[in-house]
Amino acid sequence: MERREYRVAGQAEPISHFTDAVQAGPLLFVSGIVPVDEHRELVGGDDVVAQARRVFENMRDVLAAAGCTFADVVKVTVFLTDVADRPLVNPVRQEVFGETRPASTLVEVPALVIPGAKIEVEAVALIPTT
Amino acid sequence: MSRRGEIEELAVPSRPVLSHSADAVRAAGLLFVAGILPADASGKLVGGDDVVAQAEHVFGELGTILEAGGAGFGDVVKVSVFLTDVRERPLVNPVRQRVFGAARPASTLVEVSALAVPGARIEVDAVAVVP
Repeated sequence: MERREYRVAGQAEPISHFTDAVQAGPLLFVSGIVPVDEHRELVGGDDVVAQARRVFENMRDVLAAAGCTFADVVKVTVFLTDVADRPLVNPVRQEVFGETRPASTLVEVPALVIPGAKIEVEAVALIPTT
Repeated sequence: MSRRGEIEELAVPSRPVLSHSADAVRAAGLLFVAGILPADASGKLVGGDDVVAQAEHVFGELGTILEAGGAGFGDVVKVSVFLTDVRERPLVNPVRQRVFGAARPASTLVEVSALAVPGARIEVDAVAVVP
């Protein structure tokens, strides 16, 4: 089974000993994505909707590096610093996933690694065959 | 070429729809089970403030979802357990032992500050192989 690491152009340097995504055979494991730009500066201020949009934009680019789109995502795990933000984030998810419904887990956590970040999302996707 | 045709989303009628999520997704011979909360089909909390009753419901639903996906507890390879109070771990463990029996999945357990259903003290997601 093939193992391949992806470091994606335009994504911030990983903050720890990990990479943006790793392929394992037919599956792509996407690291937790936070609302930052390529310089790891917070995007979206204290607006969780703007933060969520940036997270999913980053995710789109990481998925694309492995030839995937949102339609290929099978699982997401969503970490919010305030579970009351869930209704604000759901429309963004609906917008980006459209008819696709990945399996999902959502929990509130006390803090994320990037100060001010209110959302982090990780994913597993099925890589399209070439 | 899209692999979408090789991805099967499962929606189990007894499960609440809390977000833009399937109850489980089958892909590449694996079944990815979404986080299960102690809630009935209308999203209402089950088990009151009793973490054991909540856990019984969660693992019962896990069994239902696994079955719908063609798998069972013996096929689970990984669980993630989210508790709102990590001290309740010893209360939940006997439920896990009973449902998994001889099977021992890989497991991660952490405390979180809140779950999506008010009053919920446990959420569990899982990955299983589909025999």
